[in-house]
Amino acid sequence: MTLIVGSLQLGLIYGLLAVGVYIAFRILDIPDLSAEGTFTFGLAVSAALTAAGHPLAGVLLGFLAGSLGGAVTGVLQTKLRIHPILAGILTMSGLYSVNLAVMGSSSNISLVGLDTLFRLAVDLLPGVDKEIVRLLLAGLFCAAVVAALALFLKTHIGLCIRAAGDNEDMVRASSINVDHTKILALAIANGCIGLSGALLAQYQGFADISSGIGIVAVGLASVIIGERIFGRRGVTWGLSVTVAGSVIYRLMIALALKTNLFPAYCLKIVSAVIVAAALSVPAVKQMLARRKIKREGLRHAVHS
Amino acid sequence: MPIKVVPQMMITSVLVFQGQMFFCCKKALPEKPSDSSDKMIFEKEKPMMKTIRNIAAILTVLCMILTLFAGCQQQSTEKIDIGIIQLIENGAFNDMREGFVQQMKDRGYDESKANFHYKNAQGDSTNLNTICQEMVDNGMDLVVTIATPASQAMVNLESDIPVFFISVSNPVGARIISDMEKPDKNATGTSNAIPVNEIFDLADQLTPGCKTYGFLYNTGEINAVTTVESSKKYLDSIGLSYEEAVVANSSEVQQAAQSLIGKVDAFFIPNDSVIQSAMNLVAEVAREAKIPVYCSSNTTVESGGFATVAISDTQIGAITADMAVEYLGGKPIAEIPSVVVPATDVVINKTTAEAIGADIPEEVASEAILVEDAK
Repeated sequence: MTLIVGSLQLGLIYGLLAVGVYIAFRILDIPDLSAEGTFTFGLAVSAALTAAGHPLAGVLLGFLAGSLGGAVTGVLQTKLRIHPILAGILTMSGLYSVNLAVMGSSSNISLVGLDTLFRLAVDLLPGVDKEIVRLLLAGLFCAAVVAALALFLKTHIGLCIRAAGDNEDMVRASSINVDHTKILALAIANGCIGLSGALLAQYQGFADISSGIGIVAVGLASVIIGERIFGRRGVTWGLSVTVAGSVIYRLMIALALKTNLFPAYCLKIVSAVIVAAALSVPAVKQMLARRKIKREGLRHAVHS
Repeated sequence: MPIKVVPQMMITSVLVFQGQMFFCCKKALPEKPSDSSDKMIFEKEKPMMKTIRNIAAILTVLCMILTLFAGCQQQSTEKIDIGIIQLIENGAFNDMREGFVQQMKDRGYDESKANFHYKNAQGDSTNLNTICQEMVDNGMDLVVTIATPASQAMVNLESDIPVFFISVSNPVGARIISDMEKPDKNATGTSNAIPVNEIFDLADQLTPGCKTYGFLYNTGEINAVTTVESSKKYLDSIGLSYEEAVVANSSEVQQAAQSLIGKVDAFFIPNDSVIQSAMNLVAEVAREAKIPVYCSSNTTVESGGFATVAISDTQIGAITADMAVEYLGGKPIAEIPSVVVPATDVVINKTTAEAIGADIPEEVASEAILVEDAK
């Protein structure tokens, strides 16, 4: 049971990361690779503040730290006109050193046994099972962020952001400042990613500089899995299914880890095969249906 | 175990659900007209139905996989379940694990008495949390963690499963335990603080006259950073100077090594898995420039370094196994103190010695373990 509840908890925490990636990739249509840097930035800031005794401030400043990283990427992209992919890579590389500085030039801050938000929540509700409380806290953060974003993306500025991702020239022609819109949107997206990192630091009890490596792939996988299973139907639906996709991805990895059939080094290929199998089910079904039609067609042709 | 019933229940409910869906879906499709010759067979399904069918299909596939794997679990209650968590594939970590397993077998805990469950996070710390939760889920009797992040993740779960950590360079600093003598937090183990003083003294014996050392390490590894800090302190105390070149991943190693040539008389490599993985590049660069490379583990020396004073990684795994056996014999964890394993083996690589033209003095060679490049 720990594994399923634990995977749900992780899925919700990484769901915030997936939401940030969703905003950058799907709404803004920008390939933003700075997620690795901003995730670790949020992680480092939250860990440093929690070690100093301020867990809530750590989470809030983790969000702001991520936003700052996103804003820098935005400025590099729009004002300095660096290609979006390269701008993301530059931010990611630069933030590596910043993160080491935040962590006090050590590469690992330990929060084991200290007061984190999760521990405080467990103390607040003594009657409830510890893991369920942690799940509720993660779920609360996730729901609040998704709701706030869904509302925000329906305001005037939110609609500008959505339009900028859809048809940039049209937006520019409507005399909306596209540069500022992009910077704001990237700041919000990376803020969510930083928040995810901040929560993860307090959840897992340590912050390690390598925690962000490969995190863009995790976010993208969650977005695509959510979309494929639940379909695209609008922004609010998109944000919610992204979180669901993150949870499903975590469950798939848990499944891959639970198997004892393969040696330990096969973990990554087993999880890749499970994800591929799950995502290819609709395509396989369509192939089979098409084959059936061909057969029927041939049969009709022979008879008539 | 009640948990076993869950997958079976899930499968039954999903299969029933799936069957129902197929029935409902027939109604979802509009009726085919009798003259179907020019109508498309693919009539449009209602989008909601399509989504539900997709979800049901994917869930069925997942549950089929789950049955397959759930059925294959063998949890016998008489055998001891020992979990081993490793962060990344790495020669040193693998040696530690094998040393642990071998010593457990030698002390009587072989396949007939113990199941070893080994999981590797493949360098992905997002998987580390899931692996720890899975160990708790499977009800391990004890868990062995190799290196700091794995130990931290496991201890943070605050489960009842005792944790034995292998080679965490600073367990108190990593908050895994508060006191080496009286371990709390249900964890104990071995720490491998690198004896930098002895290594630099050995360097003085083998290649006297080195005034400046070059540190080559990955700032992302806390073990390496701790070792470099203590090296700097020692070198300051004996009046030598140092330079450093840091890397973030193995692609930067060659250039970092080359940047130090001409500025230093010798390299020093701490216990760093990134440099270890690219060690042959460093060895090539150093041998060309005839610069000795002093390392922190015998794996690194065998990969092309020059010399070290090390504890063998298999040895440190074996010492942790002894602690585990004490626990299994009935001693409570709080009474098994964590040990800093002292290093005693001098390891020198003959191939490197020839390549850089260093003479190994007789009294050192007689005590040392001489190795050649690992094939």
